[in-house]
Amino acid sequence: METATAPLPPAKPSSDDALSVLQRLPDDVLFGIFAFCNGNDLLEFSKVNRAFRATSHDDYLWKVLFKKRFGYSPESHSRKYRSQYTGNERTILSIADECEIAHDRLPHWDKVNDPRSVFGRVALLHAVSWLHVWGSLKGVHTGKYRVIWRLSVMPRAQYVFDINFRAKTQLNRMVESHLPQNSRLLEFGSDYFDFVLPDLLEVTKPFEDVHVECKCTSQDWKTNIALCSVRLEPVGGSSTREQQCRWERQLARVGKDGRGGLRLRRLRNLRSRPGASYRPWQPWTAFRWYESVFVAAFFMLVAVVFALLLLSRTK
Amino acid sequence: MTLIKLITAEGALIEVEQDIIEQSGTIRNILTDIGLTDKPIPLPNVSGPILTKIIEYCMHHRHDTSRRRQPPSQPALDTESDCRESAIEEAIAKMDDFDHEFCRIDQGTLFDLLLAANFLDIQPLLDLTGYTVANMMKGKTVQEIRDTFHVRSDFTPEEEEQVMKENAWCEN
Repeated sequence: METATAPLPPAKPSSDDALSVLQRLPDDVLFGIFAFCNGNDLLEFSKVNRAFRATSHDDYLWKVLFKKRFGYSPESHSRKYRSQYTGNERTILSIADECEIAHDRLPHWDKVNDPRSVFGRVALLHAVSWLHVWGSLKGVHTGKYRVIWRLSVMPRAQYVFDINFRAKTQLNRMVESHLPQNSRLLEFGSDYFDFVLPDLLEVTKPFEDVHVECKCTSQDWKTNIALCSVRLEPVGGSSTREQQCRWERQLARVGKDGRGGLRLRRLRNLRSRPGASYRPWQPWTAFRWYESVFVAAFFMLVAVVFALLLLSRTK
Repeated sequence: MTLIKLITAEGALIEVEQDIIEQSGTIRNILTDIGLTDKPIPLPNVSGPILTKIIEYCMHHRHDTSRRRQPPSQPALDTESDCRESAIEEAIAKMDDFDHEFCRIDQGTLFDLLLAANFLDIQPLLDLTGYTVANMMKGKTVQEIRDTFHVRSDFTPEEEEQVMKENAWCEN
């Protein structure tokens, strides 16, 4: 098969310099390699040398990474893709459409439209013994989060207290809990409530994926619960995070995607009604600092009007 | 089956079946441009052992046509999303056991393969080797990358200091 012919001079530079072969790669090959990494790695790569730095600052690369991380292309083209990559995150998942469900077929599970859900669709459990629902929130920023499952327990539910709800980061920090066994759970009828895991999830690495799942593989048949969404709510983060707005944006995007039957609901529905909640009750007197400014301004206004009245009377 | 003659960098002549080597975009373009010839095609960038490796790879994947580049007659449905963006996940999903075994080679060969795949325009092999290199680089610190791949820093000391200080995500 191999026969020698007239030798051609090798055009390639001799490979005695193979030590720094990574430095000799063409830019587009380097680009191809970087596209398999994530933003966290790229930050590290940009410190290695100039070629790496130039490639990892390429904005198109960040567009590719954005698509890989969030599953859709960045919609704004006026801002740098890199800053969109770092400024974006996804902290809410629809169970029905974005999570994996074991035995996801009709005698066991059903997907039903429900206007009370923000996504308009919930996963309804009829009966299953191997209950396993899992999904991952991609690229979560560092910080501490409450993990909140939104679900409803229907009047005839069975063995729901055995279900283990958990959230795990890539660095194996995990929070888990069961539904609290008190009678209030059944008072909700089939209304949705927020089940907040008692411990806070701490994300330490930037852009970590958080794996969320609920699982119960005992032999008993779990029945009659409806799972709506799972979300992360930052605790004590800085106000620059604009978390609430981001949810709105995230949900708007889900609506725009036009994936099967997703309907956008008002954000109001995401918060549970005051009676139907497991979250710690916060007194209404818990002011934000700027609210006291409003109150002060109001009193000053009243005082000014009063003074004006007095002045006009005394004249 | 037509045999295509290739000449490696050392000047050795290698004959390959046409449908195997047509996975390479470069060769395919040459063949469509000049038509089928008996003349050997010189590949001055690819050495013999590397070409043998590449042919081994192409032999293994000769039947899965899903990896071949789609003919350009079909226009892209969505002009907004670049093919490259969605291709990454797909490429990773398509790698099989043979591919992972194929990449258990020393660093020098791996980079030669990467360069050759780039030159010959074999996208799945380029993805495979790129993915392997990326996995070797992932999660390493700057110093570890420099040590592992023998990359020299070409920053001036002031730049070096500034680069090491910056942390783009600190505002999060």
